[in-house]
Amino acid sequence: MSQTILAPRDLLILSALVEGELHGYGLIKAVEAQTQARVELDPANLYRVLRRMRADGWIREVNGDDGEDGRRRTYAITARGRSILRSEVERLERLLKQVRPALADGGRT
Amino acid sequence: MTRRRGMPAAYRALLRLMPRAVREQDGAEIEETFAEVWTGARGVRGRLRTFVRAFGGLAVAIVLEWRDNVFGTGRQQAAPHRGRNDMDAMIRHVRHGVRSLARTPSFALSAVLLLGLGVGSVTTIFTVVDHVLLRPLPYPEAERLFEVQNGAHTGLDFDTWDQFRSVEMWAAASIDDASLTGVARPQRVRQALISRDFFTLFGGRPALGRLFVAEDFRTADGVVLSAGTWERLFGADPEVAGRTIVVNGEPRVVIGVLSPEFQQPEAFGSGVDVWRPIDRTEDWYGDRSYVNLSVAGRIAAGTSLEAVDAEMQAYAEQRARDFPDRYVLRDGRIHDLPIVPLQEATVGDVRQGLTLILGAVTLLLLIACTNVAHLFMARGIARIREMATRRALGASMSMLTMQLLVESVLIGAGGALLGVALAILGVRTFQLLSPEGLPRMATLAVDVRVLLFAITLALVTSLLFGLLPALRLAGGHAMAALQRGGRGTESRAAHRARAGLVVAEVALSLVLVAQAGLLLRSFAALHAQELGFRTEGIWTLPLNLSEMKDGEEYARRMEAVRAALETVPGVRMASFGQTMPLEFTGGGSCCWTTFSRLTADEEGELTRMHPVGPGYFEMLELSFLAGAPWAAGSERVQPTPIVINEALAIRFFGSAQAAVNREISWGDATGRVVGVAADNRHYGHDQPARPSLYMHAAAVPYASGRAHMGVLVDVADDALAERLRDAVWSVEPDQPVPLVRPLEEWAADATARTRFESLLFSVFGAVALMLVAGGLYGTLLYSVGRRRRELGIRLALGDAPARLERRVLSQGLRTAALGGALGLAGAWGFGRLLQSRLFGVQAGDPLTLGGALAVLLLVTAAASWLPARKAAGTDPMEALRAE
Repeated sequence: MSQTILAPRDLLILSALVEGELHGYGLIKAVEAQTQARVELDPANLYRVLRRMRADGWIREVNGDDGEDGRRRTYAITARGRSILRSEVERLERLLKQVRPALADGGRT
Repeated sequence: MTRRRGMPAAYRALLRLMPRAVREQDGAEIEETFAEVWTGARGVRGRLRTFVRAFGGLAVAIVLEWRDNVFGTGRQQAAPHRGRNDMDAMIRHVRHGVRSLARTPSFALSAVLLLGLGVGSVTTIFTVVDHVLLRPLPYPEAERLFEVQNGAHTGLDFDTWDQFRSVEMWAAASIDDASLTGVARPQRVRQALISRDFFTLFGGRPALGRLFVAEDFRTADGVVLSAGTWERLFGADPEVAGRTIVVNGEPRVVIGVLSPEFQQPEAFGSGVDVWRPIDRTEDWYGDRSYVNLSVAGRIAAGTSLEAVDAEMQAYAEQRARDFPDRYVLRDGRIHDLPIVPLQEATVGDVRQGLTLILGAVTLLLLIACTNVAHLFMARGIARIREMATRRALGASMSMLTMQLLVESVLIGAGGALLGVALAILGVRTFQLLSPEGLPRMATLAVDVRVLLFAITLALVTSLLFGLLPALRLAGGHAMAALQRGGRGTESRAAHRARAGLVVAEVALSLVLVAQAGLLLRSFAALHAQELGFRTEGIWTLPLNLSEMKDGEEYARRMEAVRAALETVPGVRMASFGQTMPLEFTGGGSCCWTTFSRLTADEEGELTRMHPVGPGYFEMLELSFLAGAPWAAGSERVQPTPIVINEALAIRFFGSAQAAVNREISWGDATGRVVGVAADNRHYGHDQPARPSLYMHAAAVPYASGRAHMGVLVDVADDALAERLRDAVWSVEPDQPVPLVRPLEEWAADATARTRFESLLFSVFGAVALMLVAGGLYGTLLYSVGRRRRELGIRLALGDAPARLERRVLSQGLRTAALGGALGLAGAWGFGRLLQSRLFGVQAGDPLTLGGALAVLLLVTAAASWLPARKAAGTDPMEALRAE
């Protein structure tokens, strides 16, 4: 597959993890801050996405197995995750460059 | 794991719906994260948003996880072409919808609340109406059952009808009060004397023992108990069959108990405790003047109601020819025998009331839907820009429409869910509050068909109006909307549509408010009605003494009870009549009715006969127009002294004065008028006076144990009832005294229906007013917000704030006035449907309609004033800078 198109939410989660390891609530807060509270993730779906990303090898769990002592599970981005994020950001930048002039024209008529 | 309370506990409970694998892997983490999110949410708004988002998201996630669990398609999510999968697209829409609604929780909640209220109330009322009016009676071949109307019938009539070819089975019953002894305490019970096929016709089955067979009608000494009575009085004793009980002083053998499923035919009267076979050898059965049978039958297969009707009318005509003095009325018409389907006979009286309530609730639902439409439109206009932007960015029209569709469905579904909950609650409440005598209330339950109907209504409303922005986008407004940008001006058509909705709302609510006004006035008029007798300080005790031989004994025993009551401390005087005023306002046969005649006059007048004890007129303070009550000790004078009411005096003699000393006869008896009493409201506040005749109790020509004692007391204390009961038992130790209550309570009962209806409609009216105020307020506020820039410019150019305030206010009032004018027409039309339920007020009563209009204008003025203040308070600089 040449290019993975990321859902906006996946994009936001990956870019939040680029800044550092986070646990669930931290991720929700980070995404909220990133988007000025326009995107608020809900816990159930967040963990669903995280499970999928981990299975695809985009992220990995840190402290995952010692849940016994009550420490929270945190997530970190993998090299594969980073490269997917990078190519997606590049794709979006290319797209915006194409769209912007067209939109500006349309708005002025 | 820590114990959670409140929201987190609810979240955790729902989390259990996830597939096990997910719960084991992530459950604790998800739960922990939610607790943190919830703790982090600030303020009511924040909590609302979080609530909608988290629970909505959880619901979506549960569905998705199960799908993955079952179909194993979870990995597809990461695939590039997931848009192709319809299911995924749908789920994305739902997710987006939940998110989008969570951004404006006040919109989502108001819409859901309004729809829920509408669905809930309509479902409740529809359920009641459907159950009471429309559902077939629980009897075999119920659609072929009918009742013979126009009063009760004689045994002679009933026996003749048995020959009808168009009827395959008949049943008759005579229901009366009886005393039951031979149990722990003497009880007053309802007994029914029934004909042979009664239980067959109405599908009665025994729960214990057996029902009546032919043999029982020969011996006529068995009884069957109703299931409830068996439990209440006999502790559900399984050995009850074969036991002897005493009904009205006669020993009877219990042969069986009816199954609890048996529903008594309410057209015949309800609450029967003991069932006995009719003894056809008794005198009354063959007596033409003794009418006491309610009669129903089943149309023979292959024939019709018309055929029965034809046979019955032929019979009525023949009967009138044979006994003209009895069955030909004064105006030449004959006493006919209408045949009415049993279903109609059962619900007849309440049909109109329920239909009316249904109409009112439908109006309310319309108003609620109008408000929801309003909310959607306001939101839709605000979203045109968002939609236009997304469209410009390449979102397809179908995708945007889908998005709106999903949001509408979510709102509609939320409203429907709330509606279901409210409906269940509403039906329970209705059962508790409904006036007595609403048929078949005990078996009421929310009807699934009705629920589906109401849910459909909620979904249609939200879909119709939720999709408006899409319609406008499709109409090519996208670019225009983008250009107008932040100014968000609304098109003239949209503005007109919104104003139209408010006008409609105002009109609909005026109808409801006017109806509430009419019913309230009617209730007030009923209360203000001169009853024509005293109620204050009078307590009554209905009795039914058993083993009564004749009128002589009746007068003697009742007089003993009366005298005993008079010795009770605090009792100023006591008296009795066969009935007391207002005792029979809920229907039922009040008193002995017969045709009275002038001696010279062969034609009769249907007259209500009132045997009364000494002091009756004095205690009730009946006023006399001519003459006076008979003197004490004149009971044995012949012709017996009587008092008639004004209606009868005018009917026979033209005036009250002319009646004194004239003679009237009935049956074999003749009486001489000694006094004429003013008409009173014996039969109910709204019942016109009927020709009535009062006589001394000893002059009753038949044996009846029924009397209603009344005592006039100075002060009623808690122990009064017990003292009165003891006084009765001091002379009649074995007689049940089921009820001791003030006459004022009977009077309250008599107006209960009007009170119930006026209360209900007042609630409807108040809710309608609130809805319309909210609707108008929202519209004006929206319009003020939208025109902020224009207002700012006006102010900057020197317009006075007061003038702007007036402009907005008058905009609101103009809308209200237009709606009011339309509403007046509607109120007048609806009021005419109401007319027969009104008392002392006309449907088109200008005072009521004017008052309703004034209330409405006042409310709308208040609702317009706040936005007007806001308009006047616009800061010109800020308004202009905001662009």
